Amino acid sequence: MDGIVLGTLYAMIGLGLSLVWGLMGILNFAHNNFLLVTVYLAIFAFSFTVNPYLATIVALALLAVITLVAYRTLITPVFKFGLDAAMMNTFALSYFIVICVLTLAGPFYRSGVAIFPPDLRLELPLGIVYSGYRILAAAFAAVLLVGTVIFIRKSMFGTAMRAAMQDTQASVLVGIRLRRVTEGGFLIATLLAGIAGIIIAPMYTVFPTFADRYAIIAFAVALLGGLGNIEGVIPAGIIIGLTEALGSVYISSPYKDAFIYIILIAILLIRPVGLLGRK
Amino acid sequence: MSKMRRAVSKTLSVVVIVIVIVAVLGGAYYFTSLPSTTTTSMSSMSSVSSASSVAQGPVNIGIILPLTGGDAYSGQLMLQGALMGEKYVNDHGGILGRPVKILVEDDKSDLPTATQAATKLVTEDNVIALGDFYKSFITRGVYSSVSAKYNILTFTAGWVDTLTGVDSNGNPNFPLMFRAGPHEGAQVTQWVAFIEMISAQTGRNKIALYSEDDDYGHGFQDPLAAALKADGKVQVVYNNYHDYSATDFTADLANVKASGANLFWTSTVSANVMTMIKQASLGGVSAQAIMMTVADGFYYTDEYAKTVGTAGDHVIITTFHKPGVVYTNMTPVMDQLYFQMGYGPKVSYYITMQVFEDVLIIAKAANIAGSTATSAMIKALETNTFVGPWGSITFPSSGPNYHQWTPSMLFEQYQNLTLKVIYPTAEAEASIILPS
Repeated sequence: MDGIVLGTLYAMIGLGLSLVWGLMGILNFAHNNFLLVTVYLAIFAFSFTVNPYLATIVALALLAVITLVAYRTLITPVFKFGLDAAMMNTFALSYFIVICVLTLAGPFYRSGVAIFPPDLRLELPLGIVYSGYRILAAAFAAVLLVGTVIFIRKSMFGTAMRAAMQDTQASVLVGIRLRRVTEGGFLIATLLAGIAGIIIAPMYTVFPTFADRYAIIAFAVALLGGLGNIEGVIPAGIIIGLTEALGSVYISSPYKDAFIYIILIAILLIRPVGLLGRK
Repeated sequence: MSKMRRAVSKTLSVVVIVIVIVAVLGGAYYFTSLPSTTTTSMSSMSSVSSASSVAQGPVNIGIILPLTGGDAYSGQLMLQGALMGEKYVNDHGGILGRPVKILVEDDKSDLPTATQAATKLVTEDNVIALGDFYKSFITRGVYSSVSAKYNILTFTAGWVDTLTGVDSNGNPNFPLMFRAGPHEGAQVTQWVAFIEMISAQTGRNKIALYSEDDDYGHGFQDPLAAALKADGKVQVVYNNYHDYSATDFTADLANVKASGANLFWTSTVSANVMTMIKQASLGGVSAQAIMMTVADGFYYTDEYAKTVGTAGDHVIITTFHKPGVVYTNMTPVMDQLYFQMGYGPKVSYYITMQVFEDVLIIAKAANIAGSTATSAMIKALETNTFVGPWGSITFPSSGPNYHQWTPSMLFEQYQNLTLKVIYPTAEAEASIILPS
C-alpha cells in the first residue's frame, strides 16, 4: 500500500519532467527545486495567512511568477545557442534556488503546510495502522494526475501541446503558437511539482536540501515511463514506488534508494525509450 | 513582437536582475558575516593586552563545519559554540596574552572541500589546532591528509568510536586527535542501564532497535544490540538500520510494529528523527512501544512541536545538557553567554556546548604549556584536568579511552510537549509516563 501511495506521488513529480522534455527537448534540472521553493513559499505564506489553503494558493501563484520569469530570462533566450545551453541554465537555476532558500530561510528544520489533517491515522484490518494523510495525499495526487492527462488529451491547449511534442515545425506551420504552448507546458510542469511538494512536505521534515532526492526519482519515473510520454509516468511511478517499498521490506531497507538507481540503469541498458515510449 | 510585449519583457528582465542582485548581495552579506572575515573576532579582542596583540597578532584556531548541505543545521549550532568560545577566551586573557581568532570554513559535508579548507587553514592561516568536524569520515580523511602531514592538534565531534582510543595492539588510532564529547560505544553502557531500568520498572522486555548508519555503513544500533543480548534481560525482537539520508521509514516501522516490540529505540538524528517520530505515531508504533531516541539538539524548538505535534509526547530523548542542570561552575557561565550572544531564547544544544568547550580546552592547553607547539599542547592535554561546562575533563594518554572524555547523558521525556529529566535519578524532575 505504501508503495502505491508513494508511487502516485512520484508519478506526479515525474510527469512535469516528462512534459518539459516532450515539449522542449530539455531536462529541467531545477524541477525538484521548484518543488522545494513552493514548500518554502507556502510556509512563508502560512505565517501571514494562518490558513493552509490560502497559503497554498499564494505559494502556487508566486511559483507561477517565478516560473515565467525563469522561463523567459533563462531558458528561451538561450535556445538559439542549443538545447544544452538551456539545460545548463536549469542546472544553474537549481543551485541558485537552493542557495536562495538556504540564505533566506536558514538551515533550520521546518514543518510543511498541511492541506489535509496531518495526524489522521487509520486502523485497518489485520492490525495495520496507516497514515490517513498519506492516503488522502495519494488520492489527491491521483485525481490531479488523471485530470492533467485528460486536460492534455481533450483540451484545445492540451492538443496543441501534444502537437508540439510530436512535431515542432509542423505545429508552427498549422498556426500553433509554439512559445505560448511551451511556456504553458513548462508552467503546468512546475505547478505539478509545486503541488507535489506541498502534499509531500508534511509527511517529512523540511530543510533546504530535502528535495534533492526527488531529482533522481523524477528522472527515473520520466525515463521508465518514456520521456515525453504523459500517460507512461503513472505506471512508472507506481512501479518505482512499489519497488522501493517492497525492496525495503523484503531485501534491504538501508539500500532502498539503490533500487531506484538499479531501475534507472536497467532502463538505460535495456530499453532507453522507457516502458511505454516509442523508438 | 508588439511594443507592449517588448515593454513587459523588459520589465520582467529588470525585475529578475534586481532579484538576482538582491539575492547575491544578501548571500554575500550572509557568508561574509562569518568570523573568518575578522569583524566578529576583532570586536572581542578588547580584553586582551593591546601591546602584545599589536606585536604578535592573534592566535588562530581553525574550525571546519557543515554550514551548507544536509548537515547545515548542526553546523550552525556548532558555529555558535565556536563564537562563544572565542569570546570567552578573549574575555579571559586569550592565548599567551594574544587574542584568539576562530577561522571558520564550510566543508559542505564533503571531504575534498574539507581537506582543501583544512590545508588552507594550516598552511596559510597558521592555525594551532583544527576542529570540530561533524562527520567521522571527514575527520578521518582530513586527519590523514592534513593533521598528520602538518602535525596539527585536532578535535572532533564525530561519533565513530575509533576516532579516539587504541587499536588491538594498544597503539593510538589517531595520536593527534582529541574528543571531549559523546561517541557511539560509550553511550551503550548508559543506554543499557536505562533500558534495563525501564524494562524492570514497566515489565516491558521486547525492544526494537532501528537506527541510522554511521559513515561506514554500520548501524549505530549494533553495539547496543550486542550488549543487550549479552545481558539477556531484554529481548531484541527487531534489529535494523537505515541510510543516514533516508526520510521515509514507514515500511520498516510497520515491521517494528509487527515484531510486537513494546520498547523502541532509534538513533536517527537531525531532521529525520522528527519524521521518524511522526511516522511511528501514524504507524501505530508509539501507541505500542515506549519510544526512545538519541537527541540532536532541536527538541526544544517550536518547530519540533509544529512538526511532530502530539505524536512527540512521551518520547524519551537523550541529551547531554539541559539548562538548570549544573555540572560545574562553568555550566551556568556557558548558559548565560549563550543568551548574551543572542542565540536565545532557545536553549543551548549539546553540540554548541561541545565546540565551545573544545575552544576553551585548546586555549587552556596552550596557556598551560606556555606554547602553541602541538607536542607541548598534547602533553598539557594529557597531564591536566580541564573544568568545562560538562564536567571535569581528562584525556588519558593510553588505554581504550585514549584522548577521549565522555559526558554523562541525561534522559528526558516529553510530557505534555515539555521536556522533563527522568533519569539519572539525581537529576530527575519527573517520573516516566507510559504510552496509553
